[in-house]
Amino acid sequence: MNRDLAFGLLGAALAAGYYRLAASIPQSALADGVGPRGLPIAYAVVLLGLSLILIGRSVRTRNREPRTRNAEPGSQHPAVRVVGMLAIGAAYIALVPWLGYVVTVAGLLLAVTWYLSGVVTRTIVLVAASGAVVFWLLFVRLLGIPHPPGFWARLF
Amino acid sequence: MRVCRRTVVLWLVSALTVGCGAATTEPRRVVTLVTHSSPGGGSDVFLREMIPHLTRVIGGTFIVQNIQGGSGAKAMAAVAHARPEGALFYATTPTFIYTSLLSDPSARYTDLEPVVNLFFDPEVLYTAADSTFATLADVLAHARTGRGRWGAANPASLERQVMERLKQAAGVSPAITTFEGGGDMLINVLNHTLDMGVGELQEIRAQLDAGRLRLLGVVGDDRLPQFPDVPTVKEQGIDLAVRKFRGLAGPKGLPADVIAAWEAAIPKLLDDPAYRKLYTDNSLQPGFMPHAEYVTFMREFGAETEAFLKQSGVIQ
Amino acid sequence: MDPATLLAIVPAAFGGVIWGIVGGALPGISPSITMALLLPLTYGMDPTAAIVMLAGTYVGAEYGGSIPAILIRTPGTNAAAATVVDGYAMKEQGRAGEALGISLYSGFIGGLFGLGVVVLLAEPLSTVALAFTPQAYFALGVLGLSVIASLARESLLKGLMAGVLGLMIATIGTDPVTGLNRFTFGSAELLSGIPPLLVMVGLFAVGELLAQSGETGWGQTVAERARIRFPGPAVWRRIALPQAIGSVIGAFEGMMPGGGGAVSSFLAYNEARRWSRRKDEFGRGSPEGIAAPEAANNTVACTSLVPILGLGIPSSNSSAVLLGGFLLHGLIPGPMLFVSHSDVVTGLFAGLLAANIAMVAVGYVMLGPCIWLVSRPRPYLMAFIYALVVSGVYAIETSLFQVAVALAFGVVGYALRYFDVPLLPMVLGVILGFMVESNYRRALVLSGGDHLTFLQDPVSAGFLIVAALFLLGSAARHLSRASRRLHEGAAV
Repeated sequence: MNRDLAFGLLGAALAAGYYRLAASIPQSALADGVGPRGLPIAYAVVLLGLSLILIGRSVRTRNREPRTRNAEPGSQHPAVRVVGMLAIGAAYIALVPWLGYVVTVAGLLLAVTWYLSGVVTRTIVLVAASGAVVFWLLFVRLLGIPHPPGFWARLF
Repeated sequence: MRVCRRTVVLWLVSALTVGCGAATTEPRRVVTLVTHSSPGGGSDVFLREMIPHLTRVIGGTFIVQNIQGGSGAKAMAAVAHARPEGALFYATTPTFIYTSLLSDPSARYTDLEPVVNLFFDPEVLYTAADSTFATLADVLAHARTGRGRWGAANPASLERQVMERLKQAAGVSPAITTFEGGGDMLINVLNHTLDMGVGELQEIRAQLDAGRLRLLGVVGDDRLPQFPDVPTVKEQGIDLAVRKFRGLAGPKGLPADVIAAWEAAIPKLLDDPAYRKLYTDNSLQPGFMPHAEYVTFMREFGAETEAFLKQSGVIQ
Repeated sequence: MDPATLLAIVPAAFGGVIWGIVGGALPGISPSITMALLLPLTYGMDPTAAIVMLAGTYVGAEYGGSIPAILIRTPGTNAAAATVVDGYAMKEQGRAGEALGISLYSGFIGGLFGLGVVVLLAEPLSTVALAFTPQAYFALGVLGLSVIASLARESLLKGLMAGVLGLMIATIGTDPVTGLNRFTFGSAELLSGIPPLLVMVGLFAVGELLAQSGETGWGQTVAERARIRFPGPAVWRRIALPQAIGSVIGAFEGMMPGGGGAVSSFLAYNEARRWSRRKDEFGRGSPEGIAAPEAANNTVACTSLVPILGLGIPSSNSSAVLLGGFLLHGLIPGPMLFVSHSDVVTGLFAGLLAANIAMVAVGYVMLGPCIWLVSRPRPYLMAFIYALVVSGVYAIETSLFQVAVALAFGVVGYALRYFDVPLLPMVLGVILGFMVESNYRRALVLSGGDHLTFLQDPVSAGFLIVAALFLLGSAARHLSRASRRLHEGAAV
């Protein structure tokens, strides 16, 4: 299946799902002629139309046009690596309220560098730790953004 | 030293926000006033202007914390989950009632304890100075014969409610449009897209002083001291008055002495000549309400708003 | 002006600009957040110095946004989104120093032009804002959306789909007319919608991180001279026209409430391309593609003062914070300010001049280290970008939910890259969706449902005609290209 066809199918599915949600928006006595669901429904219809054209076009030209881009060798591999990268982000969100900003950012820096380079050297640990301090100075001290302090705040 | 303590408090407050329930070491020394408005927004400016006078009149250290997001939902949650020690209060406006009713926040206005009220923001009806409408009656007459066009600042707000109720009370059916904030609507009054707008006096002050706007009526119980010639809407035969409040609320279970301290302090603050000049210049009406009265007021305001939103189908 | 005031203003301008560049350059921290973070600190300052500092922050932030746009393909501000295309392309060719130089120089030109407009014409021009009815705003939004046609290079169809997806994202949140909640699933976090900056950081920065982590065998990064380079005489001449286009579009955009820098930089990019003699270079590292949007957004930073000073009405989130700054110091901006506090107004103008000069000086010093930073080994660089994203996005509403949303948009960005779908049309849809929908419905409420109202309003009609001409033109181009391809295919 080529990518245009896949994107067309995805677009059509999104349009259908969005249409269902849009159609379930309740009516209101304060509504105008167009109403809160007016434009969303129009967007869904337009997206569906465009998706169908894309699907039609990709089916029609599939045999004629050579594939412009070949999948990278070992196409399983990249997707797996991407999931790992996302997991690091998810772990950050889950841990930062408890471990606090500085520690979690250090962990994030360390994890990503390790994940992408495959090694943990003393330099990497050092860079992650000092990087976290720089981030803390920049965001919390200088800009005054109240990043979660974590359970450390309760110890003092 | 002050900077240090302030940072510590900010940290503690954010610890409370995430539900850790950290204990403050000096509960009464530093009082945090939480607002859902961003720095520079209405409530924020109000609090920051009040604090130096509050400190001078009743003592203590006060800081402002902006907890934005969710149209006040987050600020409400932070205050509702804080320990009732008198160290954290929320600056109330009708927004927190609207947000509670319109969405399903983790803490509602009913989860907070109203402490005292300080002010009312007078709501006024106005039109462009060079428009053909001299009085509210003219605008209503136009709405009866032609196509009336009225504006309110936000879609689900006290201002919208004023316009919808005015429409019902006068028995006319103008088009009512809403905008994102008062400035946007003001332009459409100035360029005659709208016959009439409604908003806080403070928002339109610059244009009013420049003589580009005309006041048509006060949507409150009394005339404004700054504009003794402008009649109330009630005087013009329409039974409509709203009170846009500004006060303080805290977590449930506040000790009686904390509430009593505020009840004693606020009248003193409002009588202070320097602060009186400031709030009069900012077109705020002093509207002190002690705790018991404020609780009843808030309950009634909430019930009235809920009835309006249900009647108009905005909520089920 | 007395020397004592001047002595207070110049450091304030420098301080504001430095703060602004830092905030603007951090992805997720918008100019308005940067200014809001500074606001409490200005409370104890002299009123004029405080206002100058805030205005300087705005100037710095609008410039700062282009730094990550060029260096890491992530716009630091909404208005820098259009700079991403050619800025990052130049960086990839090892011309980051030149790209940053062009951006800085164009921002300076735009800032000076905008300042000139404000100083000479603030009062009379404030009436421009009054010409903008809901009809006109709707038409402006449509004109902005028509830029999709030129942003979608290979595939107009996929570009349009991305644009519609963006419009759909913009419908999340409180309905602009009834106040009903749409697509919020009961979450208070979604009530005020998804901020465009969040979508951009997700699509660009996180999407890029994911895409790069999936790539096997990284090539060597292009050797980079860690120096900023100002354009030579040939480039100088070449970018003069795009700068003029950007400055004029930015000047108008700043004067109308609700316009904001983002729309103007996209329109400027589009117009610069249309009038360029080297159209084909756009999207592949054209200096003109940086000069036009960067001149535009820095002009906006100055001319957005027009509605504030002339009418007392803020034209964007950033100028709303500036308005707060005025109010905090007991000043009510508006027509009377020129009469009652003319010293503050003069001080502000002097401060803005100082801020624009400061921007060049500070920018020149800061860019070297920035280029050095992004030429570190790739694992470090990506780790730091990731940390920067999660820290910056948190600041939008101090919410971890928003961080999760940014990661989700990273996945969307990764998917769109995989399907060869252009990202900018989606960004444009998100930025303009609310403006288009709310003003469309507002205008129809006012006209009693009559669509002709969009043609009866002169400003609206003008915009719509320009948008229509532009769409027809690019549709014709796409069609002729497609038929040519078809013929070539048949010949083979």
